[in-house]
Amino acid sequence: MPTGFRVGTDLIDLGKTMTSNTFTGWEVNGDLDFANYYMAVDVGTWGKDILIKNGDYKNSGTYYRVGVDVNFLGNDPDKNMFFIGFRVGHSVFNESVSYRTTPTYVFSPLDTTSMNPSATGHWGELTTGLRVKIWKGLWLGYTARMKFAPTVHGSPSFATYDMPGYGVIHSSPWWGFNYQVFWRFAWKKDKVLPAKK
Amino acid sequence: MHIQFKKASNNKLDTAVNLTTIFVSGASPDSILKINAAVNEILLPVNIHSNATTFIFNYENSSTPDTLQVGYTTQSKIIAKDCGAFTYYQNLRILYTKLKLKAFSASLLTDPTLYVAGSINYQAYAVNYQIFY
Repeated sequence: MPTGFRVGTDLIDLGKTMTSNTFTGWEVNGDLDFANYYMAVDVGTWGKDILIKNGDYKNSGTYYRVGVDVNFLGNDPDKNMFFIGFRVGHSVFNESVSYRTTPTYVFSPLDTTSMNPSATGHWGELTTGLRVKIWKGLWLGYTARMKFAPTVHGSPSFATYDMPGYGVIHSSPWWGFNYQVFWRFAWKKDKVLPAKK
Repeated sequence: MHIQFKKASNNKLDTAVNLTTIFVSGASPDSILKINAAVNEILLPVNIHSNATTFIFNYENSSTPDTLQVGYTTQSKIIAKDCGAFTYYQNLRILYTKLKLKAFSASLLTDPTLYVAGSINYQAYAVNYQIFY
């Protein structure tokens, strides 16, 4: 029986959104504990606007991940957590690229705009990380992700470059890292383990 | 597009074809490629402004030209930020010809250029067709 759930957000995405003009995004993370097993859900959006050598690339979309974490600090009285877990991710997004092709001979240069207006994709992740109780219901933690097996369904005239939630899909595995702040809502009083004599 | 010329009597043997010019549809400003040489293989540019290109081969020792029309699909792909985006030409298919030929790779490199003078690494380009004379 779950004793509570945690809701949090990734501070790195927020920081990048505020400081970068090539990335906007946010992510909400949640988990629900079942003894040493946690059901985890992440929901987020991200958009990129990147200058490439001969043009410009943009994407925008939403994603979610669901999975399970296993807590290896099960006996910790504060319910601090070191975990290893697994996620399945899914993304719905659009992307476009504008670029110039300049042939060396014969044909004049061509400005091309190619779009992938309604792409979907999915992937797998292995995760590990920490959740540490700071004060009352406030938790801080990080999650490291190894993302693999990206699959995209979209326009055949556009080879997807970057998938929201995953990253550059030519690379597998692709690595991710979140630094997160959580608040834990407990609806069942946690058992207080007797102090060892 | 990489084309090899082979003997009709023995398709394993190269044959040199005396080409004078090749007309390429959609090319600008000059749509006539001047060859004026005997060649046993050639690289031809496809029209990047269209999804089909027509080539008309003119020969030194024949007044009858040959026509080859090919169609293809395109796919935009970003290699890396620092390399940029390129167009890949795929699903090459014959739309019209009376030439005897055999098809090989249905994909083209991004920007194949016609280059008959000097040295070029033809092996860097997948063979798309062999034409038999």
